[in-house]
Amino acid sequence: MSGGHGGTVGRGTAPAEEYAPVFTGPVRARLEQLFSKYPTRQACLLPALWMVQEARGWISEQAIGEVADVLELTPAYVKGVVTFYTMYHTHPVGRHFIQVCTTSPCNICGAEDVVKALLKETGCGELGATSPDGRFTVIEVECLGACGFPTPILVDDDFIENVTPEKVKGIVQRYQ
Amino acid sequence: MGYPHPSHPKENVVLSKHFGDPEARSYAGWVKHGGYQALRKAVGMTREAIVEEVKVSGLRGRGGAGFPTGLKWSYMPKQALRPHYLVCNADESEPGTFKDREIMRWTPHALIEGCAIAAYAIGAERCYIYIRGEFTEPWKVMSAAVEEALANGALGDNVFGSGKRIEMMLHRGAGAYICGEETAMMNSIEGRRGNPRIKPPFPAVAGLFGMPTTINNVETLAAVPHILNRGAAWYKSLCLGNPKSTGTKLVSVCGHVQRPGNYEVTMGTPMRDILYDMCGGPPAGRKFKAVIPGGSSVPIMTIQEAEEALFDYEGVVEKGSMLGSAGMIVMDDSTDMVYQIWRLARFYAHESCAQCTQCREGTAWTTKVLERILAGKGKQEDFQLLLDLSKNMTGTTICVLSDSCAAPVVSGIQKFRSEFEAYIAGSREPVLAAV
Amino acid sequence: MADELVNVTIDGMQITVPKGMPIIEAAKQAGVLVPHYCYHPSLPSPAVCRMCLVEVEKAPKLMPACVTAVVEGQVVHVNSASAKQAREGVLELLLINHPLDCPICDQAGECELQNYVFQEGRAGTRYKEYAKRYNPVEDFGPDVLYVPNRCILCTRCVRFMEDVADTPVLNVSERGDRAYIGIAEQQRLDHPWAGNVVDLCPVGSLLSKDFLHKARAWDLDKTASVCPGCTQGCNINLDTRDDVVVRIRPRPNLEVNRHFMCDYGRMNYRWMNRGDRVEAPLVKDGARHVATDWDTALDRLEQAVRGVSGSAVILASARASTESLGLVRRMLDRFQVTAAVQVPLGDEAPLAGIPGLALRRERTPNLAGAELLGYGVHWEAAMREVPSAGLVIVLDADLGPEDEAALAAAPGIVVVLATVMPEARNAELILPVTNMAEENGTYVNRDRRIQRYQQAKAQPGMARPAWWVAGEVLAGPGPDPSAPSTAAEAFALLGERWPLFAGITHDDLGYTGRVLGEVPAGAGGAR
Repeated sequence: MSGGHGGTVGRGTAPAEEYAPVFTGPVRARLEQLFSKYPTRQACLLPALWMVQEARGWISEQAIGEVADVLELTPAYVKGVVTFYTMYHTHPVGRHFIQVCTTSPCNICGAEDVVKALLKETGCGELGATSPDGRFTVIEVECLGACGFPTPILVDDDFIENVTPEKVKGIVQRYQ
Repeated sequence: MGYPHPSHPKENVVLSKHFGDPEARSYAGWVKHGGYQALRKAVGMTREAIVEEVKVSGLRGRGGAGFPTGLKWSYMPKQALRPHYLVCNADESEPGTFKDREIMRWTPHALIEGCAIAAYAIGAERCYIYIRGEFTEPWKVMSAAVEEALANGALGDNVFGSGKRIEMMLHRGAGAYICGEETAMMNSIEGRRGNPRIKPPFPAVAGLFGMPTTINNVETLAAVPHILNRGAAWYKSLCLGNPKSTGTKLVSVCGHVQRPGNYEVTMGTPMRDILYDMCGGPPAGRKFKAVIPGGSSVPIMTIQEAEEALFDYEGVVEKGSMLGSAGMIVMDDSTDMVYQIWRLARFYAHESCAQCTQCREGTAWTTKVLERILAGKGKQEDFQLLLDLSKNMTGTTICVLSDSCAAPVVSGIQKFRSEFEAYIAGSREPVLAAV
Repeated sequence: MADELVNVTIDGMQITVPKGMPIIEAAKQAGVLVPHYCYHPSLPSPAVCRMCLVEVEKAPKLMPACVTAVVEGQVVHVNSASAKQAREGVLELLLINHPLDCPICDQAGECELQNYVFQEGRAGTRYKEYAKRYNPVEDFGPDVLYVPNRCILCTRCVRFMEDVADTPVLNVSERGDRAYIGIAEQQRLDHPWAGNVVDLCPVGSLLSKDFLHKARAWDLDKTASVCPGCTQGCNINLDTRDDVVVRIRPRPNLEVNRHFMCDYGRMNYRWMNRGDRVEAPLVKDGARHVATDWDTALDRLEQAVRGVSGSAVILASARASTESLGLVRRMLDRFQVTAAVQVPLGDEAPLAGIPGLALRRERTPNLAGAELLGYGVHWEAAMREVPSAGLVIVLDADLGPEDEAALAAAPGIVVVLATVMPEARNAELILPVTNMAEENGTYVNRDRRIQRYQQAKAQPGMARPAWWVAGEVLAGPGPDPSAPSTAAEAFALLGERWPLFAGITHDDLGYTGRVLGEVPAGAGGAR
């Protein structure tokens, strides 16, 4: 089923290897600490999904099953939540995930040129595609809340303000 | 202050005084700047006294709705027979708005202090701060600040030795504008899809986890310590326009201005002062054309309307728009209005939660019609179609996302019709490929 | 809490209803149907379809009737211009991606989208330049197909599985106009009550594989009946076409099954259509059976009933009606009778969200009725009586090889009343009887609620209801007006012998039945 936001959502194809659980050891301990912060296990769902994405880079069907088990929810329920929130990847992406804001305030300040420059510099070619060397995936996102600093981009967790096409090469080089 | 620019004399710098100052981030630095005195004072007051003070001040919700804050707090049950919750709405996603990010990354303790006072005032021992997933820097800064506050007794089981308990937790969003709607935010915290809820029941009756809850915006909460420190009468006196709009407002000006940034103005400041004096007017060689004053969900104003408006809740309404979140998007004469309205419609279509028929299908169809016009395949009937869709999408849904999509479309056709006509007539080259 | 009543006016009609009732329910009492999709009286109301928006005087916006409570003095307009315009708007939007599948869609003829569009939708679409959203059909599980293109996202199916079945196996996936109903890859829609989502779906998006392309809705005759699957006694409709039962669907009864039935009952109808029936009364003639007429057969039966000495055994089917069980029992009043009813067992499957509703272990619809009429659940004990019995009546029971062998060796007279042709080599008489789809009758469910079921298809061959056979014998040879000619008359004969059934008529039972022993307040229970 086609997603609507630059290819982060799709029917995830699970890798062929056996699935190793995420919630063991210190990750499990971190999750269990959260149980006391919320009156229900269900409320730990978004934080748990972040932990999976931190550990694996994306959220597979098996990971959805594991989260469902740990939080006593059903896989269908968890999947409904995962597919609602666009920051969760349901299939593997490049090592570095680049999100570019192109909503109107940035749009009128040249955001689309930044997108073109990034697609070229990273070698991705088109939105949502991963570059041939597996380094990057570039997508357009909606307002990043830094409209006074056009064009803001997120590279993984790095929030970079005032990106222009001229600065793109230097930024891309920093990420291997 | 117009961070990253120096303060302008016409500003009234209260919340933004320390934007850009890294020292303000630490607990010690904040205390040096006078921080946490209000909280110390608050835990020695009664809940009712704090609520009354905030009521008198005239503080209104700064997230967009402008609902009187003290009144909202007074809806909470007087006795906390069940757990009460405070939720701080830090999901700032309204296009054009970027003020809450600054409050969090420069003055995190201002927000923490405001949240703590508010939590105490509404009888809540637990406060969740919902920060959108993309705000990675505010998350780090706020996390560190909450730890510090806890270590210094400003939070925890025994706030400043008062015996009162205030727990603060950060909750990370994951990419959904709709979670900025207060009931959707509660669903999101509960581990659900971010669907807005029907009201009634209202949050103060049955909110987060079914318990009495108040949701306030970052800027609203950051104003609370100032009100307690300097008095409601002082806050109320900050008023240059309608007496129902008091205090200061952070205006996030962006787009085609010389100096985009957050400007803090007294309510009722003339919009032209913001546009020309503080922001330095349009880029060289260009002229202002349109302003969307309150984040993208409000009607577009022509520059003429904007130049005549006083910037407070009533003043902007008088000129046909709304103050909203004060995310002021300024467009000059190089802007393709049809294209930008399409881009906004696309935003709303992307963010629709899919519950209500009008929003789910209407935002998408609106986007497609505009795309077709931009692709050179528009027709005269499309005006009526867009207006019919917009009418269908206004006042008919659980939340106002669909109304927000309709606002730029209706005002755009009303005020910039010639730009649409140009595409339809073929006198303007198509800018998109056919759908 | 005492029901406070309020007066409201709906489309000009003044009604008095309990305070707090949603407008959509109050409107029913005014005879006004508020068009809706996502609302359902047995599901929580999310108010998402926006179809039920009505005009409420003094309210600033149109209000969703499913979640807006009535208040004193409220004036509601369901069919005002603004409400109709809003509905037209919703319908237009639902149709922009909905495919023109009516010619190939099972739901046609019983489709709520068709109905409302025809009633008040636009004549033509304005969505001409665009391709419709396309997603392939999905197989959700044992019986349910999901056609995403037709889905209007009312979420009734999701809410049923989550809130009523307490098994969140369906979700809404993605956002905006990309949304669809999803199921996790590792889960199937195999809950014992999952078939209800097909009924709940207002359009042809969720379909039953069993019913797929089988019959058109307008070709079906619907007959009110009671499910013969277990002791719960869910109210059902038997849908027949050309005298063949093609589908069973639940019928609302707020006291028994609300709006639902389990998949076991739903799928268990093929036996009603079996063709290998006893065609005519058969009488033993040496080593074989010869077909004869009813008069001859009844005479033979009456001779046995009046002439045989010793004890009698009745082996009754799980699905025999109260009327049949009762009159057969009365027919043998001069004997020492051991009467047993067959009770196949299975696993219980409750519907978590509705207390008191479950697929019951006892897979018989009339166990309570049988027990009240003196039948016991002691099959083996009854079989042990067979070798010493003078007369054995088999009332359409399912006989296994051991039972058949025992009957074949029985020294007494064996009379078999059967639907499907039995083995019964030794039987003196094999008499064709109707199954429950071919007769009127009643069942008593586990809560002692006696409910009527009605004839849905024609009696095949010379089959008659078992109560008729016994009734004729009871009345004696020759025509006798006292012999019951309808199930209602047969039922009336039960009260003399079993006081619990006295004073009730079939008419009293209406469409939703009555609990035996309870005197209902006011008129009978149809809602």
